[in-house]
Amino acid sequence: MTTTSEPPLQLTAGEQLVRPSTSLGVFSRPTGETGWKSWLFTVDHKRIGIMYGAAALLFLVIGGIEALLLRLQLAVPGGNVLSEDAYNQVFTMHGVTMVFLVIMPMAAAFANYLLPLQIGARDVAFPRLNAFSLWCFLAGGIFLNTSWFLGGAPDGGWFGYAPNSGLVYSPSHGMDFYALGLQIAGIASLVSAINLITTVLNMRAPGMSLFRMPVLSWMLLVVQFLLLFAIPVITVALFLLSFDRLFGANFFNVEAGADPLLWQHLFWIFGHPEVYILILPAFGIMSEVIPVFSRKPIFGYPFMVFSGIAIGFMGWGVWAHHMFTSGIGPVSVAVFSLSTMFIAVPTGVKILNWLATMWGGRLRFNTAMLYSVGAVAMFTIGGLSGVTHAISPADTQQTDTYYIVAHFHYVIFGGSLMGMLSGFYFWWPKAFGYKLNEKLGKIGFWILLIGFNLTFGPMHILGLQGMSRRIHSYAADSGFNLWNMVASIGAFVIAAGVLLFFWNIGVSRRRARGSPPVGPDPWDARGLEWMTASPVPTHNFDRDITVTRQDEFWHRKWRIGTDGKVTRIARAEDVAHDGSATGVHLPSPSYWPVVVALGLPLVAYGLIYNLWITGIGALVILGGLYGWVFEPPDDPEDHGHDDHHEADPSGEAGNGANGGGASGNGEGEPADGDGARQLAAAGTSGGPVAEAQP
Amino acid sequence: MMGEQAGGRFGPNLWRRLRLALVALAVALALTACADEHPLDTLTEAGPDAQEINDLFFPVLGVAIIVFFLVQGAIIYLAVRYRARRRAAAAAVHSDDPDGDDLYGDDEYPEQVHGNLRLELAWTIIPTILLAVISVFTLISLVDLNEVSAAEDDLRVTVVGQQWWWEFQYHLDGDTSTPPDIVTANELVMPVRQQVPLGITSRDVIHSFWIPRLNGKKDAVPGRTHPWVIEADEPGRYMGQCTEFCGLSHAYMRMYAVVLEPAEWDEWVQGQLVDAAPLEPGEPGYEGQEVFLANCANCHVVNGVSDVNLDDLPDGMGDYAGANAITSALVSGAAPNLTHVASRTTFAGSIFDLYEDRAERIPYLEVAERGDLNRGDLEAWIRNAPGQKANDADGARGMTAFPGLTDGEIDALVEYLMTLR
Amino acid sequence: MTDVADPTPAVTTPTDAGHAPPAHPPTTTGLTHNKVAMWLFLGSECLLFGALIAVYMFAKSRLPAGEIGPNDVFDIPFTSVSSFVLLMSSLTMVLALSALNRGEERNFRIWIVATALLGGTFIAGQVYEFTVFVDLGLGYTTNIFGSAFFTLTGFHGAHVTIGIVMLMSALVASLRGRLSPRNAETVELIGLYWHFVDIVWILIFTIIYLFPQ
Repeated sequence: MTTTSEPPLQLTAGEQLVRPSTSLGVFSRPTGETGWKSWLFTVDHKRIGIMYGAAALLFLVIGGIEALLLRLQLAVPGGNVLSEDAYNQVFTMHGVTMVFLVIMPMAAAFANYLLPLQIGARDVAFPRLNAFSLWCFLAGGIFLNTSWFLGGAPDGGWFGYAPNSGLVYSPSHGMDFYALGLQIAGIASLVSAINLITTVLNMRAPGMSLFRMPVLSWMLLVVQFLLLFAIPVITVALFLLSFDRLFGANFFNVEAGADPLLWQHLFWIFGHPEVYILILPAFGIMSEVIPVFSRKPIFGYPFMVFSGIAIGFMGWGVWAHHMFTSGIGPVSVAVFSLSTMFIAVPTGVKILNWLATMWGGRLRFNTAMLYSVGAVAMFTIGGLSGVTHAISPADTQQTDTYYIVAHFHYVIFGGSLMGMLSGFYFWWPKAFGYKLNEKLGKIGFWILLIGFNLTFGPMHILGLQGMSRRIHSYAADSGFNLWNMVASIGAFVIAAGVLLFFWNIGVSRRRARGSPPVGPDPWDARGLEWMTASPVPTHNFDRDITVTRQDEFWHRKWRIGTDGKVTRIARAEDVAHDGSATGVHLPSPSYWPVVVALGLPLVAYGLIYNLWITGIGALVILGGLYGWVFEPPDDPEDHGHDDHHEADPSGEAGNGANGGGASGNGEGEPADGDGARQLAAAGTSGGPVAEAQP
Repeated sequence: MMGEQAGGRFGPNLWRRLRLALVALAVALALTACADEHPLDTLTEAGPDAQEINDLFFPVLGVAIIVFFLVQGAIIYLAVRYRARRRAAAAAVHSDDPDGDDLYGDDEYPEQVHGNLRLELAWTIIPTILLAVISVFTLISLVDLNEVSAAEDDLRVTVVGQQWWWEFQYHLDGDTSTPPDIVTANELVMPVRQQVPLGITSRDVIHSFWIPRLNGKKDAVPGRTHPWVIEADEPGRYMGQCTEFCGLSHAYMRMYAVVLEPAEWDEWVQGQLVDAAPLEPGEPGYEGQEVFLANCANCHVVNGVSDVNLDDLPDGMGDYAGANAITSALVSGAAPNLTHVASRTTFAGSIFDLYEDRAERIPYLEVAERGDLNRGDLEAWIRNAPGQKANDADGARGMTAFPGLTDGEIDALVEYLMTLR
Repeated sequence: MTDVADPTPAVTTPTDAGHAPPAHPPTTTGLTHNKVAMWLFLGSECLLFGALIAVYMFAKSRLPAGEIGPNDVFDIPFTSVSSFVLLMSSLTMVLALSALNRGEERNFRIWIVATALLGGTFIAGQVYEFTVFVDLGLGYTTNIFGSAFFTLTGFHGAHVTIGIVMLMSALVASLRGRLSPRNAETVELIGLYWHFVDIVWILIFTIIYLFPQ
């Protein structure tokens, strides 16, 4: 934590939108609003979110190709598409890619793009750290995948159980890439978690109390806390593995007395919260989409929020259910069996609340809604099969069979990925200013749903019939032939569905040119993110928004009469900001996050191949940090700065007076807002806003 | 909402009926595949432990399936019942935009319901109770499954996983502190209707011991010995498979439990207790014995012939010959004991049949009546094991190739091995 | 500035702020972003050191009999002294911050240098201790205890070292006249980190050295 402070974003009316261009520190700062440089050096949370999403989709293709290879190999008994060695590498990388490089960054994409918008903030708390998270994640992902060309990918499974992941049993460099690559990706997640939690805790719009936040914001907040506490545990585990492999330590050396179960405990203490890290963002998305297309508020908001929090807490007490057959004692088995069973309760509550949201609604089955409802249906299956192996005796039959493979694909693909696809369709117009094509979207949904069930449904049967996981081949007389063939066909149907999604992006993009813009609020939605122009202008909102209740934006458009009838009081276009504000002071782009992130894989390559490279990497990081520290978050030459500087003391005085605002460090904005809000509230009595006061 | 009915009456009768229905459903699901055999099927139990597990699993699966139908039914019902109807007039106007929002009654919002505390409490509490009931049954089965009914001096077997085969060390008197009486590989021969306590361990990485029709699985972890039990109701052969990912030939790490009637079991034990007699020059198989001693005895033991001086062996192999101790070099070095190799029916991690006829169809005790040897696979295996089953022979993990052996030597070797009954 | 009902941006002067109490629930913690982030980071660090300490305890319990272990190498009096040195550095850190808050630049520099020196002494002691252990036959790869011990204390030492670098940076900033009571928070954050590292050491010292069995 050696970063300098990042002053808040300042909105000053009546000025031009200013961009820093003067030189400071080592090099002149990056400038430019367009072109690849404007993306590479951006600190805008929206661009970072979009890049997270694009990277996740890229890795989805890679992980998907790996999945297709696996299914090709297993389509018939004794398949010979892949050698044993190649198969082990491909299934390991499929797992690593899908978990760490697809679902997690996809969630990060939504978190980055939407979290500041949903809470009415102008950016995240630390914009440059945010950029660093992105590049760090990308560096880790690319580093991991370069192992394919450098002597072989990791081959010890995404779970990397010792001692099979050790140097003796996995002599290629693959598992080094695994340990170091995940370490780099872990830094990205940890930094991002700190950043986003600070954003939510400190930067909510006036009136946006925690319990007025949208469910998605809540779920993302819970996820960031899970990351905050789970990442250090996997960090330690990966360090131990690296030290064993690279420096000859003895942590997993059974000969020296080590117990391989140590790795399993560390891995799953991280790994189970990780499962909720993967699913909760999708829960949040579904909780946004279903109300909008049901034209009803989310049913039981407090239950939705608290069940998410409960899952976050209980998620820490169930890790050993991955280890029912590992040899932990019967008492541990019993305890973890029970805790696992009861974590089904808050999850079940969520499912029923979504259904209750739909109850009595006016359901519009747009693609986003289809994916969300599909995700509810598919996740339910995964949840129910989860209960059947929470009963640990049954798990001794099911674990490490395809029954488990089926289970977690229903959760992670059927729940997380479908939820995220719903999010793509839902927020696409917000991010890009045009809708994705509904017809292609709906066809794609049904193809994906059918392909998904064709692939993973039969795996329940295969697992119960005794097909082990992670086997590269099965005998023709094992009775697995039919369903494996079905699953392999299904995998290609899924591939078609995913391709159609990409096709849809291309088609919709082309058609959008010359079409009228979608407007700020194409779905008649509820969250603050819809209260600004589409695509969202760099400064997010033209003005601070004072929030008086949940679904503030919706309540500014609609009034609920005393008889319960809903009548329109304003059009979205009237309520939403048009993005025309000028003089908004924004954090300046920076080279340094990219530079520091670039140094990390160099360090990692060096640890594997040659310590000189590590030295170079360390120098790059140090240089980057140096530049970072001595570069102010905003350019001091910048016109806005003077303004900001003057505002500073008064801001502090204001804090002193009201005692509850932000303190110190020039946090003028919240204090400004306070005063302004009072004025505005007083001046608009009788208007729609006052009317909406509870 | 979910399964109150089932939650209230968890009686055994209901369970059984439910179970019948579910079996029928499973059969229906697998209908097209029913011609196939499923040697690893977890649902067709053949021992009391697997039975206990399924008695727990099926009712829970039943509840899950009921909830599944309720939830999916609710989704479909809600989707049909509350689907917004498009306004025909609007559709006509906006035919270029069939999915536009204007097609729906823009001003029509249903009643805005924010929640219902009682309802939500209900669907928090009911599943909790349901799960509490399930957990009681889970705990009961856990206790049952951890019960060892075998006496102290009954047979105990130490199971050792190794890349990529299984070794079984028999302690006939139940005392695992002494060297085992019988050491065999890949085929766990055991008496019927008798609980056999196992101690499961590994010499290298983590494996998992699993004979699905008899009991659940238990990991074989180096440095640890995990207690487990196994018991079969009927004589027969039950397939097993390593289920913890253990490297290259994880898929090829199979095994069988061969369950014999008590009299046959005794006969088998007596046969196994006899050491092999060294052959004299001129006896059939003598040349093969010489080839064996020159090439194979570095790793393989034939009791009475290649008993090795433990001190002479590289790290790890010495322990193999006599005990269940964890070897010092955890890389696999030891190889299956071949004293009675011809009495087995499979080899190389049970992926090849030793005889032409399918292993299931040949008598287990009357070796002479088993018919022709599966000479092709056996010779190929001896000549080039890594080509038959992926391994890392250079890293001392798995059997090495013997390209130097002539056809004549291999024939002699096979002839010798077949004398080891 | 707010609100949507009024389409033209309201222009208010910043000095308006603070005259009226907020009419809405607080939407910030009242702490600066940096401080919140530092607390979160330290929360995460708790898990890091928690896991490392757990690994150490576990590894130690698995040390085969007869191998070189804690009782063969630990020199409690020596480590007690170096622990005391580190503990004292927390005191000087507090003094440094309070000097800065009062605007006493000279005292601030003295105390911050003292803190860094005490930290440096601790690190020197640790390096010395490591060399002694290696001479006694306990290397990083010797056995499971060696690996776990050096990893845990090494991680802690690395944290102290990073702390010293931050202290020195603060000193340089002060010498260049860039530190004043107004941005004392930077030093406060370094202090938070420093105290955290000290507390971790107290835990490590108690658990690892004082209860070596």
